[in-house]
Amino acid sequence: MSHVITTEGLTKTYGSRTVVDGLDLRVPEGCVYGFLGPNGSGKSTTMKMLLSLVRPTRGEISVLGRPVDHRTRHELSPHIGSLIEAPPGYGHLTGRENMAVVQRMLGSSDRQVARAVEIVRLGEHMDKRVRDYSLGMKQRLGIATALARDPRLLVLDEPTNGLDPAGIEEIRELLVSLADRGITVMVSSHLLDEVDRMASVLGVLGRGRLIFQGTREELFDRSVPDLLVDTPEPERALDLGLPAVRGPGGLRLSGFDDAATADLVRQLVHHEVPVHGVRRVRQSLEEVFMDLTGREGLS
Amino acid sequence: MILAELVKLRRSALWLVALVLPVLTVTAGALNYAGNRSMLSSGWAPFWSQVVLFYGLLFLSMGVAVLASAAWRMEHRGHNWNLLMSTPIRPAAIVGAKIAALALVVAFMQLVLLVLVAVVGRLVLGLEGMPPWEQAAVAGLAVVAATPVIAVQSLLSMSIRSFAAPVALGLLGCVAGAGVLLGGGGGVLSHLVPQALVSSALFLGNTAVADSASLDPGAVGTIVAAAGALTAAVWALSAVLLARREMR
Amino acid sequence: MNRTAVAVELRKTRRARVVPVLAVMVIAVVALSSANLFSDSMRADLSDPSAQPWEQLLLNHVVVAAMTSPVVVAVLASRQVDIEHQGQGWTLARVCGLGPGQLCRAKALVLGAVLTLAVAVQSALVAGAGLLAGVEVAFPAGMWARYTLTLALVNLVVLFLHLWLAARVDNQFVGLGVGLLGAFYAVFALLMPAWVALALPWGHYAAISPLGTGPDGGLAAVTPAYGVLVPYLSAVVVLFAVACRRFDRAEEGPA
Repeated sequence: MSHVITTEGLTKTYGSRTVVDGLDLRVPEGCVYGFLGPNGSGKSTTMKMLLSLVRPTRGEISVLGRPVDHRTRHELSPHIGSLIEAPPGYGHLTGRENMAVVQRMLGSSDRQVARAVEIVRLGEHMDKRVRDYSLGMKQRLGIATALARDPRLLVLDEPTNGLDPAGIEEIRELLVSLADRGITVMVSSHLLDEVDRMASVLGVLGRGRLIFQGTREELFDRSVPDLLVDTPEPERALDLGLPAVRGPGGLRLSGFDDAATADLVRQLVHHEVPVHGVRRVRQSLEEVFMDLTGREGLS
Repeated sequence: MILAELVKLRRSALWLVALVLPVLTVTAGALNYAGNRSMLSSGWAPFWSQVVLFYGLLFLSMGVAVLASAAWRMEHRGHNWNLLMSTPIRPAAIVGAKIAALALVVAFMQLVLLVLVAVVGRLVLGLEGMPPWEQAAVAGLAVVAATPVIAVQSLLSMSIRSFAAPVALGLLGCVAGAGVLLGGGGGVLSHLVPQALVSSALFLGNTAVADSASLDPGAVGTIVAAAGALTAAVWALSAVLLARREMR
Repeated sequence: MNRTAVAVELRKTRRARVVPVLAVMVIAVVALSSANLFSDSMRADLSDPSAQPWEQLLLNHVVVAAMTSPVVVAVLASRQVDIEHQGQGWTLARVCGLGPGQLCRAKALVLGAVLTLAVAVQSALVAGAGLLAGVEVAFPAGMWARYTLTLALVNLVVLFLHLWLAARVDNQFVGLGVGLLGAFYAVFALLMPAWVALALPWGHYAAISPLGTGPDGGLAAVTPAYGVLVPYLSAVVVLFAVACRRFDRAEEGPA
């Protein structure tokens, strides 16, 4: 699989404070890459380094097969659409005039701009001043400016921040459809359920370190969900000295992988504890994440 | 890129400043000329000298300071830095376009000044004929002489997020410029302080200001050369600083 | 006046670099006012009463102060108020029990005190420059003190106006534009008939000049129109107080 973004030991320190610590990112081509982490974990700084808005203290970055530094910025930027921190926009100008500014800066064609506006469905608000836009409209204008160059890569920092559920759903559909067109999308969020349904590859950041990178399935494999044993006689099972607690319908046990589960069932049957069913808890991404970062990792 | 800058200046209060400043300058100059007719000789030259006295010493440069702050304020607000820096435009072009757009506003301001001088002089003060061509030449030259001030103020306003601080520094520059000119030091130093360069240009051939040079090719050439060199130096410095700028 | 509000403002002035800004401006004004004291043509006049060296120096100070003070005041007021607009400061203060009007009054007190101090230092330094250059004519202490006092008062009134403006308009462009135009007005008021100078507060920088052109063409002492100035200035102070009260009563921020 070819990678659109790779970094080796990417590090950024401000004084003695290390904000990003030795990241080895691998963003495959044509996917939606969900970049997850709590606020202040270094997501924005990482994205700024990918866009050469901030210089790394150490490490290498390669984007679209080219090394990234401020010398290659003007070669790479025509192919990268980005939205960092908050959507840009000149408040005293209308949406259309803002797009005209962006068009001149990027040298985009009228068709590209019209298409970008159409994709974000902002057509009817283009003659309104941006200072009168709602947050969702500003966000969409920001995405339109990112799209106006027909990018091969989109880097979006918390694009759903401050949007209502309908707006979030809209952005989600938009990003998935962009990935279907072959555009690689890297999107950050501090909320898991926001990226859960759109990202096929995840990178999880905690305190500046990459604590997980891979597919959604690999992430679930990494942490073993709790086991639920349905039994009408949980006391008898507890008397056996199992590391269990009372759970819904019987017992709840942590850290039992498949082999340990088989052993457990054999033991219960051997002691004639009635077992009505054994199943795993359905784990939310949130819980997986907590598992990986540890409770303190979130704060 | 310059076109993009001009789009940004649409519906901006910058044009208002470029209109109000010359209106006030000419009004005040005309009132002063009319009030002191007994002491001044009659004609376009004394009227002109009343108009450009404080304009050249302070208000053109201060106007530029406010304009530059307003032009960069757009970028500091609303996260437009990230947008600006993630385009393929090189830093030198970003800064150059800002300087060019501001120079255009200043040129517009000078044009308004000239037209107003002609209209007010003719219709209100009853001066005969039209203003001499020298005044148009001086007004045009002042745009060239003002580009170093534009470049410096643009650099300050680019680097400092605050609106007021670059204006305060600009005022300091004006005081320094006036000091250099009035102190009679003149020479090289008056061509190095951007604000003094503006004054020197506007005072060319002006009889009311002591020590002002006459409008001859030598003086004009020196001012143009100094303005070109200063602007190029500050432009280059701005581009280097912008390229090294870290987005927080 | 709320002591907490004043203490908080004092703390903010540190971040706004009020004192360095003022210090540099004072030095610049003094340097410009006294620049020609040290020129060769002036040397001979320093001990000649008919050349009026002190009067010349004071007039220089009047002109330079009229040119620069409106912009300096606008810069200070604008910076001190803009921090509230930028950081939701009005709301923060409101939930801490401080109304926007109280905040503005505290700003007026703090900035007014530093500004007045700056004027006193500036005026003393200009006089000091005269002594340093070796002026041997008797020093017109009364005239000098009167001008210094009135300059400080005009500064305060213009400061009130700018604080009000900055609180109302969340765009520093407006405040500084007005300051620039005010400087313009002040300078030209020096050359205009007296009523022009009295018409707007910025003209008062010219109206307080204790010197005018005498019948012989030299400088002569004149008495500024205190009868107009004092009621005018008092009226602005009252209006500022009323405006602050209205800020306190209004909901949310003043802008």
